[in-house]
Amino acid sequence: MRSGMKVSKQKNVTGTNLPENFYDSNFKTLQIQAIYFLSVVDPASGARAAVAHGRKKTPMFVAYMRTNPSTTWNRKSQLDWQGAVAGNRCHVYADAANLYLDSNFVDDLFFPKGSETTEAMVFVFTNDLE
Amino acid sequence: MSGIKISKPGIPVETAQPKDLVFSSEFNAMKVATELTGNVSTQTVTIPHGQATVPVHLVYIKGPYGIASSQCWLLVPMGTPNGGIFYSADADQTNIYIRRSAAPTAPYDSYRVFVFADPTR
Repeated sequence: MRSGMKVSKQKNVTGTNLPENFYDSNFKTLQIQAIYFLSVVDPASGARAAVAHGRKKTPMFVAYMRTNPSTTWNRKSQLDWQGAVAGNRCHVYADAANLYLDSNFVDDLFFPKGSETTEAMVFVFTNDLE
Repeated sequence: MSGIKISKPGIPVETAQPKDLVFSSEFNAMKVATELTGNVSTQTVTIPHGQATVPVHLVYIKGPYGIASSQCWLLVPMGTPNGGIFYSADADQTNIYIRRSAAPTAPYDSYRVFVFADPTR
């Protein structure tokens, strides 16, 4: 019995193998379940944002982070804050219930209250981490 | 014309932009070639990946960090939220290397590595 699906790169799909196939149902592909945005305004030690991802297990994810007023997105699950204070750091992480954006910034050193925000854009994939 | 497209619900597939397609045979897909798991029991963990070329890879670490939950996973490169320990990962034609900034002690952190098939050839 033959089953499954292959999509080749403008070749006869019969007999083609990786990497000639743009899609091959023998392999899992990265599929995006959802994209979440988390933010912490005026980050301070212990600040945390969380969002429920609705999965039963911890999902695979990739995070991009930035700090306002910067507009540059970093592909990191961790963002060091200006390098000004050792240990000041933000993290994106996941467990079986939530995605989290955690801040252990010691203090707002550079910007007036209300003007600094740490944002995370988190791509959650259908794969599980465990 | 050849190939297939699948659009999101409510969007005409003939005119849909790539962002509105859940699948298009016009584009390659990131295929998971293998997933590798284990414990970080040495300062550098060497893991054969079995690919013909240096692969695209994503490495996740779970450890007893003592933050929101001991079951939290972080994406490498990263430092443990309680500070002090940093992780990086790299690959050559044979192995993936997970590098810890200090020698580990039990209980060990766990890793999960996603290795992707070469999309460039």
